[in-house]
Amino acid sequence: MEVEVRGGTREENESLRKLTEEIFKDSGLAKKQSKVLIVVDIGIPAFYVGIKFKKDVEPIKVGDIASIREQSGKTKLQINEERYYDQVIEKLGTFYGKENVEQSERNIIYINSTDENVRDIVIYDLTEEIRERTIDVLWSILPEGFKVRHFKHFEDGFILVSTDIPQIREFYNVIEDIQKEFGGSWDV
Amino acid sequence: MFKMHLYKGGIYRHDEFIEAIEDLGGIVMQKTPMQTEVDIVFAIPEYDMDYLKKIIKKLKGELIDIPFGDMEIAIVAPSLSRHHLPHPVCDMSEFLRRYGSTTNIVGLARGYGKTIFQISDKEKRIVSEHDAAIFSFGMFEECILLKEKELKGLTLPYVLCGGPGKIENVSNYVGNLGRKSGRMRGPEEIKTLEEVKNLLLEMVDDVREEIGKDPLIFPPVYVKRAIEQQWDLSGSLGDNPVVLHLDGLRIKKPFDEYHERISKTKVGEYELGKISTLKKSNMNDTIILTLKTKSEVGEGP
Repeated sequence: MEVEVRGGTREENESLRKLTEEIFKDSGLAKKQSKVLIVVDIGIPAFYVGIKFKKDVEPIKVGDIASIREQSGKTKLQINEERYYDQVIEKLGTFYGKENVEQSERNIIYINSTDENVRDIVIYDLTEEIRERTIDVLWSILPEGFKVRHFKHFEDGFILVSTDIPQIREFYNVIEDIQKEFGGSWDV
Repeated sequence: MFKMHLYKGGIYRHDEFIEAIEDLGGIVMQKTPMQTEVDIVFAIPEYDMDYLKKIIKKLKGELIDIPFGDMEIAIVAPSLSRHHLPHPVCDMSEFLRRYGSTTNIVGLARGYGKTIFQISDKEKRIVSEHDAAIFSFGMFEECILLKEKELKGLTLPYVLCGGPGKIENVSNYVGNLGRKSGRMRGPEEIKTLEEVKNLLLEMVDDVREEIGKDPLIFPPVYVKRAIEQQWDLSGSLGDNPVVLHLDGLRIKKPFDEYHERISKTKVGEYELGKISTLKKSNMNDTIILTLKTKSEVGEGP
């Protein structure tokens, strides 16, 4: 994880960088971020945070955790990862109806139809969990009184502005600058 | 003037040491036996220390100075949230307790932020009840300077702590004590805490000198002992019902119920009510007792 802090004095930036790194490490999220950029504007005052997740933080799909094959007009799924049993059954039930999903063994599920798209069903969206946990961790990094917050999310990250004054145009300009630097598609 | 010390030694013949303290007019504040060891906190006039040191050497004990032993210090955090607690505020508190201080952590209602920061009059009065204070104010110089202006009215000695190493024109500032995510136990961090202690000690020495010019009618340790001997204060908040201040005491008992009783305490030839003022604490329902000076009572300096 690369942490960069700009805007304060060299000493202030360094201490905030160290604090950010330590808190992310303690939370176990340091390996999930590729870049954390904090821009401090203590004059306003406002803190801008840009987060970019690592590429391996992607949603888990049925195809990733199960062997799928057709068998006499049905689809047979053999789930290889025990921790996702519940989620798979729940998701398949939602997609095909509970009456069409049958669990014959602990790790074997039959669907009463054949569907090629079954492997693309998202079982567990890790990105969303990482996003939520990262936001939660940020509350303990950003100054406490800065409770006016505005987010802009994109597929593999987000930008946040946190301040203790009402929102002003300046915020959006800085957000746009960070967006250009980070790239990514917006408003997901 | 009485000074506080801690004796650490074996339990064998420690009664000789206690007798020596009493013979010299000192006061044993606390005795903590731990299997074969004993810790004794005591107060004694400074000029008698040489004699006592000889006894300590004979008993193969250890003498530790506790310069804040007669003080109650407020450690003020911008709030009681995870941003400021337990590090570095509790670390500072723990460190000062090693030097005998009684510490109270005060969390301000709105001590965070830049534009929304404020310290109310009541909070100032709570902090002023202490002998000294340490303010922990984040990691940005601009914010620390703004917050520092709000503290101008305080008359007690206080140290400001924050992230930047140095801040120009703020003499009572110690840096490298901004927000921390872990316990301060590295050598550099211990050095920083030592710096806070030394600066506070310097400031408190001035206060002691000032008190010495027109001494209190009785040393607070002497009044503490008189109160504890004459009234049953068991069942009080904490294990130390009477806390020493530089100029008096905090008695951890409900004001309405106890202040009349306390004011009737006999200290020497005086009644305590006549040589002190008692008021209700702003912090909680305890009694703040401020001793009058010799000149106020009419004994002259």
